[in-house]
Amino acid sequence: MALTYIAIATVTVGSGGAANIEFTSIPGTYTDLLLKISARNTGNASGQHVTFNSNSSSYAAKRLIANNGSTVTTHSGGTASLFALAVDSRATASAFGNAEVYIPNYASSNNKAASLDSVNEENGNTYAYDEISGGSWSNTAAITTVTLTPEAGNYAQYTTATLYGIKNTV
Amino acid sequence: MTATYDCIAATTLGSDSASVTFSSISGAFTDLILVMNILPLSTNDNLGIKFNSTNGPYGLIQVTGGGASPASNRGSNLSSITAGAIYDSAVTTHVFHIMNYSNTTTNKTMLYRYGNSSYTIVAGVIIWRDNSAITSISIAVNGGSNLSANSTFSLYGIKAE
Repeated sequence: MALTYIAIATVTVGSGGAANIEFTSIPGTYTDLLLKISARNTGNASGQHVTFNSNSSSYAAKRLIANNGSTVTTHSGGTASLFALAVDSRATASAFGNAEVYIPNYASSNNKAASLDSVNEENGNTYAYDEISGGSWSNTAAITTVTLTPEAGNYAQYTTATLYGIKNTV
Repeated sequence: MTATYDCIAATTLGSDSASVTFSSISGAFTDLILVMNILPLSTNDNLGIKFNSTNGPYGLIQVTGGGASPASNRGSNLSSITAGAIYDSAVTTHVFHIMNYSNTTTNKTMLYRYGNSSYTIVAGVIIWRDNSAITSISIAVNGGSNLSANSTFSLYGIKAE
């Protein structure tokens, strides 16, 4: 039976923190990419940016966000990156956000789409969010690099990100 | 290493097509994952999904964003599942997680989400009020439009072992 769900690389942030997490030289041998992130940043903003091939233009997104269990809002995303949640320094200590980014047909010559699901829960009332997002990168280049950047500050120690390749080989 | 996430079937449309069907799905897995990456076409339309070619009854509840304000809607006793879409200017990614699809003792449930950067983002849950094992999944366009060439459809099986 073929292996179709394979870890390409994992990053765990060390004690000094990290300004970003980058997966480079991603081979084009898979069908889809799946990025799983457990993240906390040292700043005062509850998110992280996702960019491809070090490019900071031509992104778009629709976002649906539940905030503190009280409000649900919908927004359009910015053009410089895609966005997912990450717990920040104001949240309960040792809490980390979870995020998944699914990128189908990342090596194709079509424009790229992505699904982003992320959540921050910190057993408090202020910085809990749940977000789903549909994003795009209007670029026909194969994705060979994925970069994660905190919305503020650096990634805190113990932040992890794993990039999986999914093959639809029968 | 035991393979617990296996591709059962995959299709890339060579030309515009009205539907895609996965048939003779093995009961050897625990769950199914259906991933559809649908390229834009000239007209906005909905996808209708059926299991084992039956006309339901299906039920769903979902939350939707992307417009002026979030919304939720629910349907019951449906003859097909309208839980997907194609759009005229955006690639739409769909992911369905179909749990315990092969047992013959319970109704079937699944989580789904789809969205794109131009129109909408949707997450929801579906029930198929039938105890049969799911052996085929058909995806069709409700309103007569086609699925665009180069759209991809992949069906994965997950084994809990």
